[in-house]
Amino acid sequence: MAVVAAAVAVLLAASGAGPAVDRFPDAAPSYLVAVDGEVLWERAPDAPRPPASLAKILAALVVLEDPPEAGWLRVGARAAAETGSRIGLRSGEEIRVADALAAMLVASANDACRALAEREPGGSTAFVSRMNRRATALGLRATRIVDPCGHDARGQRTTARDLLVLTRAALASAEFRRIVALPEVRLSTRAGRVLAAPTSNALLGRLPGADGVKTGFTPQAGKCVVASARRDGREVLVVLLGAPDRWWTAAALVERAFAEAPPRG
Amino acid sequence: MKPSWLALAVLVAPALVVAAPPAKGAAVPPEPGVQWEQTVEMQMQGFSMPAQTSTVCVPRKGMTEPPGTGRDDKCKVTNVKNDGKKMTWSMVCEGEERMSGEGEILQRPDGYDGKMTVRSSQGEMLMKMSGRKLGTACDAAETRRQVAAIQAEGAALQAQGCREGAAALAVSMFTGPTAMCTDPADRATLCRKAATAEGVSALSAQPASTTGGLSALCGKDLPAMRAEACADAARREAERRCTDGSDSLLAFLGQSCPAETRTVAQRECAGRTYTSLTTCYRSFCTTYAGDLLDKGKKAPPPTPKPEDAAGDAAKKAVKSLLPW
Repeated sequence: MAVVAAAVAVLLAASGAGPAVDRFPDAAPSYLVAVDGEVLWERAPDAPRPPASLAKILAALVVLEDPPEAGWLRVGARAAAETGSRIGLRSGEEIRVADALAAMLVASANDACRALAEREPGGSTAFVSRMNRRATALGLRATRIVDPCGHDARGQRTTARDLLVLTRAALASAEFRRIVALPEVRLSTRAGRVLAAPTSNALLGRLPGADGVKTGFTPQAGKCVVASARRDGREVLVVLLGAPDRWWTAAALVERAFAEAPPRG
Repeated sequence: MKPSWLALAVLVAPALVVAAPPAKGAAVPPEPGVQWEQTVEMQMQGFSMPAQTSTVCVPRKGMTEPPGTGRDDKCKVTNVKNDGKKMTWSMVCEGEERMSGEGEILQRPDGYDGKMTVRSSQGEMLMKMSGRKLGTACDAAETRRQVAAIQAEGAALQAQGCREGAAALAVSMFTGPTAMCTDPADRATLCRKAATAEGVSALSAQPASTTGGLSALCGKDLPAMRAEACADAARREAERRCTDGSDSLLAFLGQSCPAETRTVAQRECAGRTYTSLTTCYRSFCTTYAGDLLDKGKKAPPPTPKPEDAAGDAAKKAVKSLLPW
């Protein structure tokens, strides 16, 4: 055991990285701040928490496994009846898969999310299975999805650390990165009805350098956000789970992370 | 080497046996001279500078007064004795750094050897000098003109350095017994700038040992200047229109003025959501929120059930944020 501890210490010293500290204990029950992939500050990053709509990041990764540009999907009755954030889809309408993806990520639209999940052969259940397989493939050992859109559900969980890994994987997709930076989503159904909704990410357009990623809220999860910002070639990612005032907190942590980011190695 | 030593070395070294330069602005007529090669070596506080050899044009009448005579208003040469072969003298430099010394030169038809010892609070400097007549005819006034030009250029450079030092708030150039800069106009420039928000910010980043001389220099120490600048910045910030769009006032308040920052935060941040902030105050309020949240390295380690304990703490934090 002592040998392992010594080896870890040597590795940390060699990499110039120190253990992440909890500098902001009042920020959220579980949070994590990383600069260029290096975790600066954290609190209970491995504590299991409900993911809320941050689950849609994983849903988006699954959708993006097949190029969605050209396809259309039909909105089912269950999707149209979704609660929470919606873009206003009606049962029987057809929309482009790419538009549904954008509505799900930009406006956290549950109706678009459910429509995407039900498009899967085998329906939502099969889609959830794909999500969990993808989570396993990414090494997200503490993540288990039950509801594809992140509604509170028994046994559904993730962690701040898993969400950091997941988000970095998602941001590797240029299409995902483009969508989550949009200030609004605007789509037209196949019948020509136009729907629009602003981003649910309050940092976009307000915090310098903010370029995505995803918000979430459920009664059990509280207010959550994964926020990304880039300045001068450096990237800050903030994961807040259950943050009472996520926008103040996320903005403050992003600013502080850029201000105190260790020099590039 | 301390500046005063440098000044002394410059004073006596460049052209040891060249007569004193003309008064400022005075014309220098041609004067018959002979070229000499001269070597100077300095030792001070346990180390030696490499010997420096140069060729200079010396008046044919030879060395009639000690080197450096008349080159500095602060230094006086006294007790000069010269029998044509041996010249001795004493020297005293007044000012903030007092120096004194003695010199001796033994002259020969084809050369000279000499030494000069100078003492100050920084220690003792020994300068050894020697000269060898080369014999080539030259215009001794040309060398004097060059010396005068070099001295004028040096003075101009120093004046420019002091002006730039004042603008850059280089307090140490203006304070202490070895202050390089004494021009009242430069002092006034420095003190005016030091009293501004920009000046206080810059000085606050300097070590206290550097800014300690502000009180003697400007009549106010840094805390007093900061208090005045903060009050002024708070007044201007309250009077400006949001469309002014400049963050410099808020940046200064946030960095240097805790009391005024609280006042502005109460007025512009308290009780507001992040999305309801005006553009002017978003960065200021965000930074303020970060300061409130930041517990530094004193943060307690996570408890065995961190999500519950931290959840309570987070709720309390929000309640404490809202009534700023």
